[in-house]
Amino acid sequence: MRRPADAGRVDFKRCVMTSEMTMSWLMLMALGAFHGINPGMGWLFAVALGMQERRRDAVLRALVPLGAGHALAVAGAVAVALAIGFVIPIGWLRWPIAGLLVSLGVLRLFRHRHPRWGGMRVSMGGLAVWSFLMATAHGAGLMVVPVFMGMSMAGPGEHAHHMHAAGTGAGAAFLATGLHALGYLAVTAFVAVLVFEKLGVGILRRAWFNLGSDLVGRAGRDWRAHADAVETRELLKAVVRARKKRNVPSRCSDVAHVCREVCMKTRRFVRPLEYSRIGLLALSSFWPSVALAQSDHVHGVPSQNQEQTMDRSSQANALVQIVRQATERFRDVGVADAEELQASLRLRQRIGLGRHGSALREHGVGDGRRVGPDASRNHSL
Amino acid sequence: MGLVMDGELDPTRPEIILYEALPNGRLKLTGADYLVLADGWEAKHPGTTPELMGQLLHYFESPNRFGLPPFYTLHVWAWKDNPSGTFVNWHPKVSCDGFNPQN
Repeated sequence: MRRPADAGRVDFKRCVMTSEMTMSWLMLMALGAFHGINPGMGWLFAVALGMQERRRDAVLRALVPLGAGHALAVAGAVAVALAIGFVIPIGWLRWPIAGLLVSLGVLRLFRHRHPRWGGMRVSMGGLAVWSFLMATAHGAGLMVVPVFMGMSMAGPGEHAHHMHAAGTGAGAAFLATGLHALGYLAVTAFVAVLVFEKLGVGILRRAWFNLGSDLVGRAGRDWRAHADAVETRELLKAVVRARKKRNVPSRCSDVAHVCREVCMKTRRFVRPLEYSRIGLLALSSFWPSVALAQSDHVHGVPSQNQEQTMDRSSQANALVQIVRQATERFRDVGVADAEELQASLRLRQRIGLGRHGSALREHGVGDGRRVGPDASRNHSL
Repeated sequence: MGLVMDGELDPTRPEIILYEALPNGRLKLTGADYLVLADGWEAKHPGTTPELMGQLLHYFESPNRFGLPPFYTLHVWAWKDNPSGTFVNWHPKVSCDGFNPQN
C-alpha cells in the first residue's frame, strides 16, 4: 500500500515533469521567435507588401501564408522524424540530426548560396511556398526536431510509454509545430508592424544585424558573400522597385548605401555569431539529452516509472505486442482454464485469492486514486 | 505454478493473466502479469533486478497481503488501454464491481 507521505512526492514529481515539458514548450517558442526576428524569414516581406499597398492590413494578411509556410516546413521535418520513429527508435536520430545540423552550419560557413527567384508581388499561395522553402532551407524544421524528440521522451513518465504510438506522437508533433509557429508568428507580426508603423526599413541600416544563416557566410572576407545581407539587399531593392512602380515615396532613399552599411555593420558580428549559431544548433540537437538527464535526476531509483527513452518505448511496444500474441487465446476464458496458466491461477486460489478476479483484487483495480508510480518505486504497495 | 517458481522470465509466457469481471458475469481479458519470486530470481541472477524488455519489475516485500514471499512483478495492460501507463500496477478504468468470488 502506498504510504500517505508518498502522495505528496507524486505531486512533486509531476510538477517537475510538468516544468520539464514547459521548458520544452518555451524552447520551441523561443526557436520560433528566433526565426521570426530574422528579416529573411518573412517579416521584411510582410513589410514590403504593406508598403506596396500602403495598408497595415496587407502586413497582417501576409502573416497568414508566412506562418503557414513556416509551420508546414516544421511539420514536415517533424513528420519525417516521427515516421522514422515508427521504423527505428527515434532516439537513434539524435546523433545523426546533431551531426546534420552542425554539418549544415559548417557547410554554410564556407559556402553559402541563396536562390534568387520571384519578385515582391506574389500571391498568398506563393508567399506560403516561399516561406516554406525559406524555412526549410534555413533548417527551421531540423532545429525543432531535437526539441520535439525531447518533449516526447520527457513526457509524463509512465503516461508516455508509447511515444511513437500514433496518438501521442501525432499530438506531440502538432503541439511542437503549433508552439513553434506561435512563437514565430508573434515575433514576425510584432516586428513587421513595428517596422511598418514606426521604424521603417531604415532600421536595418542603423540597428539590425542578422540572426540567420548569413552568420555562417564569408562576410569576414567579402561582404558580398554575406548571404542574408545579400538577401536583405535584394528584398530592399525589390521594395524600392515596387515603390517606384507605384510612385510610393521611399524612406530608404539609397538602398545600396543602406545595404553596404548593413553588411559592414554585420561584418563585425559575423565571427562570434557564427559560433553562437552553431552552438545553438548543437544545443537544440542535444536538447533530448538534457531532458533525459533531468528526468533521470528526478526519478532517481531505477523503477518501472522512470522516464522512458525512445529505445525503451520501442521495447515497450514490442512487449505489448508479445503479450497480446501470447495471451490472445486466453480471451476465451475456457482456454485459460485448460492450459498450464491455470496452475498459477490455482496457486493464487490456494493462498486465498479468487480465481479470475485475483489479479483485480490484488492490485485494487478500480480504485483510480491508487494508481501511482510510487507504488513500484517505494516497493511498498 | 511452475512458471512462478522457476526464477525465470519469458515474455512469451506470462505467469498470470488479468481479467476484468464484467457486470454480466463474463470475464474480459485486460492484460498479463509477470511474476517471479525474489529468492528464485536472485538464486539464478545474483545482484540483478529483473527486467523485461526494458521494463523493471516491481518488488513486493514480505510479508505482503498476498501471503507470498518477496517477489517481483510487472503488469502489462495489453488488452485495455491504461491512461496511467501500460505497465503500472493499477488500472483506473477497470472495475471489480462485477467480480463474484464464488465463480
